[in-house]
Amino acid sequence: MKISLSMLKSIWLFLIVILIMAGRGLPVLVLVIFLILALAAPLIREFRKRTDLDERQIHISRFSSHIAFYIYIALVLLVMVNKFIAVGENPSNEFYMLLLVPMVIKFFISVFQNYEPIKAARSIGFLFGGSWLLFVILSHGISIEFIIEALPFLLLIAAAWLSCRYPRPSGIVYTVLGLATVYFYIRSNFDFYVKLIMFTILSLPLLLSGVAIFLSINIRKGEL
Amino acid sequence: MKNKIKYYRFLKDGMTQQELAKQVGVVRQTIIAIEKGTFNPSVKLALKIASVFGTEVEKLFELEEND
Repeated sequence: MKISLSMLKSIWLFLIVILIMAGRGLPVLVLVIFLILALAAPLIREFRKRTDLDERQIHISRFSSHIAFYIYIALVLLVMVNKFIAVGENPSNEFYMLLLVPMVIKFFISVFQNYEPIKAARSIGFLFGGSWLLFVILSHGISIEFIIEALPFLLLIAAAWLSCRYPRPSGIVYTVLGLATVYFYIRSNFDFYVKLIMFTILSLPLLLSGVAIFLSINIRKGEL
Repeated sequence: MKNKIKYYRFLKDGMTQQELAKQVGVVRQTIIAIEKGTFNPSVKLALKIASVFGTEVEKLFELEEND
């Protein structure tokens, strides 16, 4: 059963590639639906305990995705360099978004998987809070403006510091600050692609850290 | 890593790769890859295979010098 299922999925993916190649005039919406259907299964598989593939098939699926990731990055770089040579200017924001978002996501997933999630969350809190404090001190020096602007990030550093002892309030601080940055980017006048980059670099790690801290509560309960 | 899966299949009334694959919940290609030594199974799968043959993992799999 497993072989026939995985074979069907490979054929499905191949058919979509053919469809993209053949149907350049295809409505974009149709293409989006097909791609979501093709790519949803491998993503869902990562979050399920029971899987439709055996361990070797999962290894093959991950290895092929890994190689495809680097080829994708190389292709984006190639297009950027080509644009630069042709126009003589740096490529526009969407290219930086295409390059940065997958790399940043890969980085944060690796950090959370390599280190204990709560330790990774603490490090992210210290790094973000510390960087912001440095930035504010350099801009305003020690002043009232400094205190007002630094307050959320002092809170973040405090939450990071206390995350092991008080995970629930710390998780709430991370999550609220993450959501606040999302709100800020939605309301801002940034270019859509810049918003996506900022969301990936700042909001997502804070939100992921919040989730990691909340999950650590359940893990600890399980250990007791 | 060397293994004696083929030998143990032979001892178990010539059990086929397909039968073994079905019993341990993988595809036949995975059994082929393990027998050839091109894929190292997880501890869980190694234990399942050993259990099918009623033996121990250490008797089924053996480290080589360069491992």
